Amino acid sequence: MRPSRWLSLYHYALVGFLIAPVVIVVLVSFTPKTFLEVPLTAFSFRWYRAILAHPEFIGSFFNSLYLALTVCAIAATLGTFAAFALARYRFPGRAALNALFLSPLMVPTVVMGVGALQILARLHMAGTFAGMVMAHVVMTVPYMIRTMLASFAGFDRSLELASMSLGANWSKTFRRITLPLVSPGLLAGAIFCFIVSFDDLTVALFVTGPRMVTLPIRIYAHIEYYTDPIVAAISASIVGMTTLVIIVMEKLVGLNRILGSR
Amino acid sequence: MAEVRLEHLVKRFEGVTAVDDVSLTIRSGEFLSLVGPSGCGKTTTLNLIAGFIAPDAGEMFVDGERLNDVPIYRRKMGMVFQSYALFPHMTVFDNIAFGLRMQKASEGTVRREIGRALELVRLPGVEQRYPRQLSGGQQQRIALARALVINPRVLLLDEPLSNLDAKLRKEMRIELRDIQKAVGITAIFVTHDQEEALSLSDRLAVMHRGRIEQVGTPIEIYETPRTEFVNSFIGETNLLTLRVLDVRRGEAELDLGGARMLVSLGDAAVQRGDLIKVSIRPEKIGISAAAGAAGLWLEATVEHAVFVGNMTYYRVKVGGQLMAVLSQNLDAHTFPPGAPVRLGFQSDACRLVGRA
Amino acid sequence: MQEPKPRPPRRISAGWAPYLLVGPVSAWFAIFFVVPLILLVVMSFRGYVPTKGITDTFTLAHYSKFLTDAFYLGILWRTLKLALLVTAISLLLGYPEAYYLTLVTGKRKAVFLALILSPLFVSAVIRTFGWMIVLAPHGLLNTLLDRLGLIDSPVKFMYSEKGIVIGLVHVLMPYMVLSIYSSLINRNRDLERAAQSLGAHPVTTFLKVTLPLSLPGILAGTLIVLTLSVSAFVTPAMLGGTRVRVIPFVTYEQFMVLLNWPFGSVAAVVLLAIVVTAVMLYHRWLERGKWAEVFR
Repeated sequence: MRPSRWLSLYHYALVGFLIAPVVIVVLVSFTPKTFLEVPLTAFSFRWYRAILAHPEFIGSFFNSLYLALTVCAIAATLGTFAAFALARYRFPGRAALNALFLSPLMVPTVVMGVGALQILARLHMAGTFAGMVMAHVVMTVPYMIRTMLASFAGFDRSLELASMSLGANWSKTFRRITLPLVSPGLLAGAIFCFIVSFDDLTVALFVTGPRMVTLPIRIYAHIEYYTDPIVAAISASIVGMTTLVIIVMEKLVGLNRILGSR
Repeated sequence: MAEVRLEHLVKRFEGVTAVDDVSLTIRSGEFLSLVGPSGCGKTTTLNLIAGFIAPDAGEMFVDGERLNDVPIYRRKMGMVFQSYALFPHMTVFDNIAFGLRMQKASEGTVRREIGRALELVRLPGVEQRYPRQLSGGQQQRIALARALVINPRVLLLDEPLSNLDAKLRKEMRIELRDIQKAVGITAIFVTHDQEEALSLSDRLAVMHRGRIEQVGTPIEIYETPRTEFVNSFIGETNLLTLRVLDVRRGEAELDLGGARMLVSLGDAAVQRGDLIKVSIRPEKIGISAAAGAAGLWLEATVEHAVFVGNMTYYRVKVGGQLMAVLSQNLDAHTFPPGAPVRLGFQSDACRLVGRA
Repeated sequence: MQEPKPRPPRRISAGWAPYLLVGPVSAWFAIFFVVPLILLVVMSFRGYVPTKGITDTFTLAHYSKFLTDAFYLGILWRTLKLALLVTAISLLLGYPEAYYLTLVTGKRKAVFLALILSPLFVSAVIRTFGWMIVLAPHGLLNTLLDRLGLIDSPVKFMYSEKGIVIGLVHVLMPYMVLSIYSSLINRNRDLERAAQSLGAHPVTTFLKVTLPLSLPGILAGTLIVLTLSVSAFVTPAMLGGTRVRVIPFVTYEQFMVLLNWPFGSVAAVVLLAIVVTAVMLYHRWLERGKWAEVFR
């Protein structure tokens, strides 16, 4: 059954609505003017060049990057181990832990933020890199666990049994059979963790300090006081980078699947 | 109750012609099967009749009324799906009532008709259950009841028994047939299982690659297949390619690797020296010990023997070719591999299929 | 690590291996999730004196203020109202889109799904910034409406509830679409054909068969959008600011600007309570309700 003309029209309008803000931000980033306006006649790279004159933005970018990578690595490791245990073993408290690990998904980000602030303040870690990592890991691990639970649940255990019957011990089996086959889920979960950490504003606002200003905070603060398009240029750059990473990952994940299924 | 007529139906999907000039008349009250391998177009034909898809060419009639532009919900045909398609969010009662309520029947009528329908399919008392609480066989019967209760002109069945296990299938076959005969409704049944088609139908239409190869009663189709495909799809057969040595009195004498075989020709024009294809079904060949019996034609050696209780399947080598022979268990004796045997059959058991 | 006994497919009961695996995450959660929540609740009962700061007393004054003061009740009501509005609009706009996605296949579908998910990959700050440009008094939307002759003077989208609703619908619609899509995509098309063969007009078929069967997706999507819009911070903060406050913003303001942590904690606890209640009601409905028999 093919969609009717009206439905198709509606669909395109809706997709337009969904991508409009980002498209507009990208367009505005090319304006030669000093105020926010969609350029119609003249295009300019001046605001991209302006980024270079604002080292604080570049610094924040790297802060966010290192933060997200660290968070991603920790969450991926811890999350995968935990998901494996939850999926494969039967032990007292399993159901409760399962619920606990997934519950941050339900908690509003502001609540996570104030909670993080309070504990980090007590531990004298507020405003530090480590402190923010701690807070972000709690936020992102649930996504990782959820993804990996699904991966492990859909996993054909007889493959592992076949491997072991052919002489491979548990750790070899895990490395050569299990891990490659769940790697698409692992990668997807890791990307999600990265994005959640990199883009987070809410929790960061509570936990930030002068040494640990992430990019979203820098952007947010700038918007409070100025209305110049430099924010648009930065945003457009981030969008561009994200798109690139997604495309690269798409190719890789595709490759990964082929390797995994052999 | 209604006669269905298909005239030169054509349906194409993305360059593939799924239904290729199909014409067929299904008589009133008849149980007709569309049978063939997957992709032969039988389900597509049924979907065209039901109205789920529209033909690219051709016309369809029910009792003379042209169906082509009539939407699904006005065709008044009962459809039974392979997946049963019972509405999971409704009770059995509401499922069966659905069609009646679409007809704006009164609730009293609804209740009465549902009671009768459940009696017909021998499942009284399940009105308040949900489909997922019923077994496969029960669900199929409810699906049948739901289709019949709206008093359709035609009953369409799309491989309704394929999801049932073997034993249940055989039981449901008989029930299905009984119900159809009791109600007297015209039924068009799609299946890939030729045994099912043979046992259920008044007539069969064998389909292959979008075309109807042959239409006939089960006996006609089985005993006198008109094309090579029908011959090999319906039942088992031995297909041999042999040279004609002599033709006399409507029979051809064929060379089977040194042995001689007789085939009745009917009115086919065949000459000495022709290479023809011949089919003979395994159960039509008699097998006996090499020495002793009189009037047998072919000497053969047993290659394989598989005893299955009521029969033995043999693979014998005769004249350099392998043939399958099915032997009824008359005397509890099975020839072992390597044993010399003689084969015998009526000349009209051997059919001419075509030229090689 | 201990070698587990190979026994498909049930879980293995094997000594200390699972504890080793969940240990790190459990510890992390204990310190950085459970304890903070406890601290939060405790803090909500502490006293606060504007000159001195947080006092080590127990008081219900903050709760009473939050739940009886008309100003804060107004904010509470607004937060819920906006959330319900956003949910309703997302449902109405998202359902047809989800339906459309079930009708296309292959590469086109993959592209569309990617486009629909794309807002989620971009930071909320950037997305909302885009909306700020569109919704400004002389921004794109007002210019468009003016050119179309629909308005005489610019409509106030920025720093108004309208703007927040638009921004939140934009952010949260993908969740609704995906949720409904996943319950529609696996439906048995034969059901719709069966309904039509029994005499149901396509519209009737949709209302009596397709729509009820997509209810799990609708409920799940509604829950996600509702809880996320109640909890939303960035979008209302940027599009509403101090002029149109919602509870998450109040929490932020109390903690970081006014430094009244106890009162801020009350706002946070109330917010959490709303979300948890919604989730529990949803599960009750799903587990016990009329649909349980049909869908479980």
